[in-house]
Amino acid sequence: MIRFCHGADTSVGRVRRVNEDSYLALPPLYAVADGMGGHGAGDVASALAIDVLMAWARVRPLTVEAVLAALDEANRVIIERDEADGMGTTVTGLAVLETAGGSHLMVFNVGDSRVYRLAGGRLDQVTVDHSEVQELVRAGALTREQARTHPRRNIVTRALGSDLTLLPDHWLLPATAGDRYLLCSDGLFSELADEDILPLAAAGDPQQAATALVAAADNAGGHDNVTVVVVDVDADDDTAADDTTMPRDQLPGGHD
Amino acid sequence: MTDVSYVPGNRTAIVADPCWALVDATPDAPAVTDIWQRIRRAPRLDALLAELLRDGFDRVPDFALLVAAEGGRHHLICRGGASATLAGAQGSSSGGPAPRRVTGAGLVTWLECAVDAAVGCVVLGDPPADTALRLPAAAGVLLAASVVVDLAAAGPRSVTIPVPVPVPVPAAVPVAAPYPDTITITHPSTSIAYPQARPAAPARPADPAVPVAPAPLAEELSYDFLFGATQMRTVEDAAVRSAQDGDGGVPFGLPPAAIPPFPAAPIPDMPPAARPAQPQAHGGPLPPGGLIDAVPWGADDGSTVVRADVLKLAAAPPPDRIGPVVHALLCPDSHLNPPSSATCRRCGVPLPHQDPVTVPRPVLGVLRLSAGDVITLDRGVVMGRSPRADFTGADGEERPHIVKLPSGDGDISRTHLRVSLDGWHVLVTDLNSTNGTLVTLPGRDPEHIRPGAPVPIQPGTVVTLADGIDFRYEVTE
Repeated sequence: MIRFCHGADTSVGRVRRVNEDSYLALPPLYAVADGMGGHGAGDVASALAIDVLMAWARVRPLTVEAVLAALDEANRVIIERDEADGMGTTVTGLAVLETAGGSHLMVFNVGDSRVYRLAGGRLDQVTVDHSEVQELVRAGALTREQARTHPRRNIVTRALGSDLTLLPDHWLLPATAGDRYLLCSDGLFSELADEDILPLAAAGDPQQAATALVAAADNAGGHDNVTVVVVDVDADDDTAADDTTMPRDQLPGGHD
Repeated sequence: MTDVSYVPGNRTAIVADPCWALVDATPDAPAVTDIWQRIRRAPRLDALLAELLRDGFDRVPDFALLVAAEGGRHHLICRGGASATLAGAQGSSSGGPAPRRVTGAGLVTWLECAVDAAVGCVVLGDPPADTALRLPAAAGVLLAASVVVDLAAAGPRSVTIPVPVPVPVPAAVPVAAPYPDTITITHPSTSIAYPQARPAAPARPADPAVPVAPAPLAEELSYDFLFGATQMRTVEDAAVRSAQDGDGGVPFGLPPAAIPPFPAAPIPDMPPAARPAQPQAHGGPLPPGGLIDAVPWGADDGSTVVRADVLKLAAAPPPDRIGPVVHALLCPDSHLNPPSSATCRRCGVPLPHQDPVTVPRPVLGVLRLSAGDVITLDRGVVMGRSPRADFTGADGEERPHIVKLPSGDGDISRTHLRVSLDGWHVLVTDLNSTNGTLVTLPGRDPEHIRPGAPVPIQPGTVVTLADGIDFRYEVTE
């Protein structure tokens, strides 16, 4: 059986007065939401999104369809609440699915919070930010590191609560034992470079890693709320598939 | 077969199966004649609306309009004081749903809803009293108080009113479109056990990330943007336009110095007039070639406009430069199609002449696995017995779905094949698998494909990885 183990931490930071982040760590669904909008609307929006996702986390089996429906409902709920101008939230997360006869993960994203995958000593960002600076990175006008400190880094191009037509991204991945996933709001990676995140994210159990990352972001300036959820994939039920190796089987690499 | 009757009165009824209208105008009004002629030529909803709107929006008469659409459904539109009633089957004495009245009163534009033929009977205008004189109508323009259209379909009565959606509840599996052109995914082997009712308003998560904080002072929060508070920009606000857009915007791809300094960003306390928050949620500008490509009134101010989903931004402009876009033609039901299409890939109707629009690439279909699972073709897919999870392209946007297939006897290679999307095309590439990949195009014999060479496949194609393990590429509703 594949098991999942998680830890989570959040901090308001050293500059803000309100923590507008919310998170969910309710297996098989994990999510981080970073709210936006003045006058306290941001924390309401992110909490609304997490509330809706929490209700859907009880759906069995959890499918891609169900997660997308949950995001759509969260979007509508925030739009209908509309209690403050510009109220909205990012949301990113990880759902454990039963697809193709084995456990798969669905990574989903709207906005500029992120899901990273830690495997083999590497930190890979799975999600693609829906942000203005990401567009510039894509066009080759900014490097990833320049984007991290760019003055317009906080402008997101998609969010829950802004448009009834929601365009979430999602990716299917096999659940692989030993992998660790890191869900975070932008308060983490705008304070810490990837190379600073990696050793902290890799050390200790999921709770220790989450706590260490949040503390490090605070110590690096704490300009923004920061929230981290760490999920470990603990065991694989599909070892047979790995053991039966075909002699001529080749591992392709470097496609595209 | 529909059965139409009318109650004589002083409004104008247009009876022309598959369109029926009751218009608050005299029969000699030019619009009536034009609508009549247009119905005879092409009974299409968009054409009829264009006719009704031709003298400007504030001159549109009140009307109730029922038009048959594909799949036994009908579109019902009520504007202004015009009303219609979904009355259930004629002659049914009990057991059906209560009659349902639909009206455009109080709305800025009109109310549209989709009506299942199984609803039975639609009354345009007020439902006639039992004693009212009712006359049969075949086709023509009549003076009427109401028109009764009996859709007379067998089967369960149901009515779909997708317009004024309150908070959707997971109970009835209303999987609303996450994409403009969403493919509904079904899991035949594992039906989803949605909760019958929303779980009781969930309290905050057991481990809430947000400590409940007192409402902050406005003047304090209003400076959040200086500290990088996340803000949402709208398409128009933030569109990094190319020079030929001609509005003096910032050309896409200029170095960062060309980007306006950050105070140009919307700040939370901007006055409503300047706030770019909501407009495109309800009525952003439609790109040319959409169903309504020449509404006589401008973009609305963000107030609620009730319009059926089918008319709403099916061809929404891309929200950003993230993710692929394609050129597309729209069918009357707003399905998106490749520019080379003559008929709609989803519903088969001929596509009206139009200029292509640029839209985020819709889901191209699904891969239905022999195991019963369904993979959405919103991006490429890599399949194998044990594919590496970091199988990736240049960046995350190119990252495919990675699907691990059960392979008891090891016939499938660890990383067996790739399905890639190129514009509207779906391609299969065998990744040097040990036992190869069989592609069966519709109506053709199975063929082994050459390793490493992308092969385009069409809907209905079956791709076989090993005995009993295959998938079919489908374009589904």
